[in-house]
Amino acid sequence: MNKMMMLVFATLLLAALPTQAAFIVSPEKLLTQQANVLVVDARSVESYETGHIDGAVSFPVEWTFEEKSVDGTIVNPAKAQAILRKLGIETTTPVVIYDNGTMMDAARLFWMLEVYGIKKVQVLDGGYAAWSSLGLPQSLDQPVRQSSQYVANIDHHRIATKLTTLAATQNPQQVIVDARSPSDYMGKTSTAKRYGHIPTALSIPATSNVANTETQGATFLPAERLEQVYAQLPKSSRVILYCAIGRVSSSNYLALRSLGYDVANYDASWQQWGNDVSLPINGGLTPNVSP
Amino acid sequence: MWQKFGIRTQLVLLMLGLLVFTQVSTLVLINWFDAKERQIIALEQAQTLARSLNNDFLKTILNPTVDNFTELSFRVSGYQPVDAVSIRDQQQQPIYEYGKDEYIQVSRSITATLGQPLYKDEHLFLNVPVEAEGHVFGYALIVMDPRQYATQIEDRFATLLWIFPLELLLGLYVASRMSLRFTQPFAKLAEAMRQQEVLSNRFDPIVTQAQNEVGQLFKGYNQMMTNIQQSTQALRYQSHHDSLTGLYNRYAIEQALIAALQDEDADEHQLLMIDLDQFKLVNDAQGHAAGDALLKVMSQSLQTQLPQSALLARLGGDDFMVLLPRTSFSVGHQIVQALLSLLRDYRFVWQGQAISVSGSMGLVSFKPNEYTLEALIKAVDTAFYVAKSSGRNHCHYYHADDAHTQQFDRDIQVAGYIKEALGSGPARFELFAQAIVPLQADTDEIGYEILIRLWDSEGRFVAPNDFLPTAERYQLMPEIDRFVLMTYLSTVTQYPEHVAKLHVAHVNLSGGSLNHPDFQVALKQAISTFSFPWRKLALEITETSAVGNLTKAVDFIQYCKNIGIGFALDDFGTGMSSFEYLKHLPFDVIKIDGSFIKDMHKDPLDLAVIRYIQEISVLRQQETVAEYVETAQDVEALRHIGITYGQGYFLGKPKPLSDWLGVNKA
Repeated sequence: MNKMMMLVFATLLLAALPTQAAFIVSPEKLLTQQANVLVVDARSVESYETGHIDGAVSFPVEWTFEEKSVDGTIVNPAKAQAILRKLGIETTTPVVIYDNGTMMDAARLFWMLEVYGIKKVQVLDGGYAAWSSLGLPQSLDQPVRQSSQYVANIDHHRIATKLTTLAATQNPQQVIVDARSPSDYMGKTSTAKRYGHIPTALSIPATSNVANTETQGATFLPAERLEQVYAQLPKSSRVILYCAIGRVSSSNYLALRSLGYDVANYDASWQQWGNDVSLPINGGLTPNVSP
Repeated sequence: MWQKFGIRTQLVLLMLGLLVFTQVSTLVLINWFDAKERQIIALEQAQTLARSLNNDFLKTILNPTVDNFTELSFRVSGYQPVDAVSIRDQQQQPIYEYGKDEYIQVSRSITATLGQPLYKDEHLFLNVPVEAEGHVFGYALIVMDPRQYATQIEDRFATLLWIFPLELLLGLYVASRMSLRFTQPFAKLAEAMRQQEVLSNRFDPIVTQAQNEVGQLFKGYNQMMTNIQQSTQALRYQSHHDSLTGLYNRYAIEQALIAALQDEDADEHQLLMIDLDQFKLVNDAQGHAAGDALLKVMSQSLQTQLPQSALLARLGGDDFMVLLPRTSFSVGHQIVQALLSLLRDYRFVWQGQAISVSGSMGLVSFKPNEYTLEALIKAVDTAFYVAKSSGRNHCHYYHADDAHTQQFDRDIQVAGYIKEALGSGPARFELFAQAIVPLQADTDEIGYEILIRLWDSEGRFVAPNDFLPTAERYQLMPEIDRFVLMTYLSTVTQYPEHVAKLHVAHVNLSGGSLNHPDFQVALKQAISTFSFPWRKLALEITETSAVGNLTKAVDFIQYCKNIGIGFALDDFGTGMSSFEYLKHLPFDVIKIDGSFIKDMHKDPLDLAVIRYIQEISVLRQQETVAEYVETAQDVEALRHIGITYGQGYFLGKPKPLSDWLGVNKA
């Protein structure tokens, strides 16, 4: 009896392990579990209206920004609550996101949903391009979802504030990754008043996560290559990402999540840090200001 | 099932049950107290948390930015026991949630009163207002898990669990030691009961220090055993002793005889039977008190003459038996002589009257296994009866083949027939009658003497000479006489014609019967019962038995004479000394003994005696009967002398009474 139980349990664990870790899902896999998940289209409303994966709802990536034209700050709780309620998403709703195939928009939406406490979020590998190239079902129907009872619910593990980032600079268990260009990192250029980077931060530019292809432009690197990119980061460490205005670091976020790291995105990024004179910076042309 | 367990097991199990119950109860109670304590702690903590986070909640409500939300989540996450937090605006609409889904779901559905703790699903739900400067901006619902708080419960549980086996061991040890104390008395009692030697009627009292129920039980047991012992002793004494004299009884001496018969180491034993000759006389004449007194003093006197080893028993009445175990005949003989000598000189004094007492004894020497018990008793009986029949104060030594013994054996047999014949058979009596014929006148009137005949159990004839002496010895004559008289009267009264023709019927009577109260009563009853011309009845009494008996029975004889019953003197002339009686005794008929008639032709003296008796009888107005009339010559001679009646074979042989009555002819 006991042996039986243990055998069944072990089988279940083995079956559950890869799905738990997998944040990237293949089109074939999605096809088999489409009935159980909510497919979310991160492309523009126009693209969605010209055709989308069958059963998908539209969640254009613009909605994840508070004011995209200004910076990359995440949408505020009141708006987010309204959107998620309208799309019928609860914290427990399994969601699969896709974009045109670059994975950049999907990564942004992925981060936003994780920040707002949605627990099962995945990204379709290769996006709509891969889906349509395989000739999988598409549709023009726009399903109307029953709205949910969602209440703003921030997962503070997935988002960093000024305070938590400042704490990370002094915590040896945590690593800060600068996703800006090496030039920004080195303090040669800056989008803010000050130059340099957050103390202890490592430079891994967001461009390291993508390869430029001729047909689709920038696409996400496969897992093996991403491993090499982030090889210098210890797996046990908590990682805090930042970029210039908090827009591009979400690709690093998805990459690190898919590699199994505990990652948070410093939402306000260099735009806040670089302009706040009370915060310490390193490697800038202006001298260090001690707190 | 429980009843099958021993007291020890029961006690141990009870003790264990009690321990387990106490332990479990303690744990449950501690757990309950702990839960209460945790709830109180959780409430205090929740209230403290609400106060300390009030400003953060306020900031979240007033400025709901991602940063503020994030920092609140970050802050709340620092409180381990907080499972969920929900912040609502003034309209009670949730704007922020934090924590585990299941408690968020629960928090949405419950309506917790403001400030009042609500316990549900083992969780504390506390709804507090978010306020500043006396104004409420919203509400915060805090969900806490009281179980997260560290109390000392684990330590206490651990200690209790660690102590529990020790408690059990100690409990087991104490229970088993204590139960030993409890069961010991029972085991002791049971053992004492098993050990009792019932046959020897011995018992050892059991002792205990206990003064409780066990003490009472032991005391009760000892008391019961003492009672049993005493009553057993008394019963045993009663079963072996004669209550009057304190001597052994028949049962006891029979047991001793059985033991002696089986005592193979012994050479010889002597068994003596003693009977007091005058006991009946004393009993009848002086009353039973006198008889009992005689038996008591006699028992003591006999005892003085006997050795220590002798067993003296009273079998009943005046019969004593003495067993002299392992005693030679010569010693037995000496003892017998000593006893005879004692009895010879013995005088029993009762109410100032000295009565001489003598005894008859029978002695049997026997070896182990020589007899069965029954045969031995019969042998000593035989010896005793031989002694009794040979005279007073005499001892007969038993020899299996002596003449006396054989006679006695025959007597016992015949006495048995007589008793059967008097009772319901199979041996039986029959009445015969022999004619008594008038010699001086011719008449058709009938006269006869009733005779008795005995057939034994197998229908063989027993001669009167063989059974009448036995009947005398066994004192059965009064019964026989009564039987004859009653049978005759009850038979003959059914034939009135015969009675009418009857001149006289002679019925024999032994001397003893005349004096016997039973017979006297029976005769008086017959007189009142039967309608019979009593003057036609004559009772015959032999000359020998008449001597001594008639004088005692004067009153009874007078009674009979008044009724009309006549008396005949039988066998007259055999005891010559008795001419005196003829003068004084009230006989109506004299029957001249046959020996005179038989020889009267040869011996002139006999003829003279006949004439002489006839002459005297005439003078006294008595009729005469001549017996043994066997020839016509006899008849002629007797008629010539003047004899009234003749009786004999010549005049008529005895024949069954039924022939006389004409029953067979009819």
